[in-house]
Amino acid sequence: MNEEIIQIVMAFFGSLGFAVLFNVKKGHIVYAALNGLLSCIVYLLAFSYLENVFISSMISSVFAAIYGEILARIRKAPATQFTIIGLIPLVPGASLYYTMIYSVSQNWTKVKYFGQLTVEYALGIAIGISVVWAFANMIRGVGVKKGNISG
Amino acid sequence: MDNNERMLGLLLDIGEVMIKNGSEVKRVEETITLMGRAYGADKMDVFVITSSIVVTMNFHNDKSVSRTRRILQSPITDFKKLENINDLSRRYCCDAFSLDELEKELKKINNAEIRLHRRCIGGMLLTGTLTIFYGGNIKDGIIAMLVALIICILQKYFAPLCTNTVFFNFLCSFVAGVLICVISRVISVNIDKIMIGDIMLLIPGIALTNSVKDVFVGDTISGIMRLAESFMWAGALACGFMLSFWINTMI
Repeated sequence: MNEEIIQIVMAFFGSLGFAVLFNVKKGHIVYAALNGLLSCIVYLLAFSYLENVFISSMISSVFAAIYGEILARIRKAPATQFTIIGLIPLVPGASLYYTMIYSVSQNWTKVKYFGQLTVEYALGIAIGISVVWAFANMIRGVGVKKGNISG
Repeated sequence: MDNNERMLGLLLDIGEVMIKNGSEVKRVEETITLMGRAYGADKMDVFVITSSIVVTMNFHNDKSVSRTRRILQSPITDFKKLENINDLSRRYCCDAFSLDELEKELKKINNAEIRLHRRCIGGMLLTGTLTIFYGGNIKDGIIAMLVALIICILQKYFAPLCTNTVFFNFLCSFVAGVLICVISRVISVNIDKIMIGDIMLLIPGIALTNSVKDVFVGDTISGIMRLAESFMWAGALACGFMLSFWINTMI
């Protein structure tokens, strides 16, 4: 449990670091970093129930993207900045690293394991955000058409 | 130079700023089209990929102006600039103000470069905390931060000298890897956790996410281009770290 709390707190500060690095506007920084914290919690919860990397990372990336879209409406700013910062804790940095380190030492069973893990994370994130973006685009499209008729 | 030509130039500038600061292609196309219509063009033909912009403005009296802009620099993400441009275009579409004013505002937005100390603070914060996130201890975090500082400085002063990002990523990760290995000879630290933390700083996350988005909304060419690019960058990163790691095990 203790370990999870450390992870969640560090996910927040890591996302905060990315928000500063990518020059997110001052008013949005904390909200963007909060997305990182929440999506990390969602991932940990999903993983503890399902124990499936692919599905859990998909669920939490769906969550991060929805959070980004909602916040974009509330704060009247592009959604990408909130979504991308929120995805930081899901990025498969560790498994990518182990994939390449084990391929140096030619331990192919480990390479296969970590390589598969990396692909599962990446695919999960990609599919999750794509689905949300498709729906968000649809909603936006309907709004634009209405605007044209009335304007 | 007549006003239409000048407007076209400004539109290209806006598109260039957006791409250089990490916007998705779709948004650039949308922004240019809407602003052109607000200016008074009947039909806008806009084609944008990550390395080039082509714009034709058609006016009602069978006149048209067209120009292309080549973009060589790879993007550096700056959400503040993107948001300001978004704001500017929204205001322009509501009420088309004069070109002088548009030019002035665009210059103001573009000149507000992200400061080096901000990038360093952000980079250090994220590598330090993510090192601990992936299971390192506080000592690992502090060393990852120091390496991140060096990477940030390299990104600022050394990247413009490199011919392309692939080469830069390779050199940068190699330098970082060698540094970490040297430090690990002096004090006992978890090499792997520190390297993971510093990979997170260099990994082309935004380019990857944007490429997925580009493919998904129908900009297949840009999407595939960016995807291939970011895989090459990630591959270069991996090679750099691997080389330093390999040298470390040899000696």
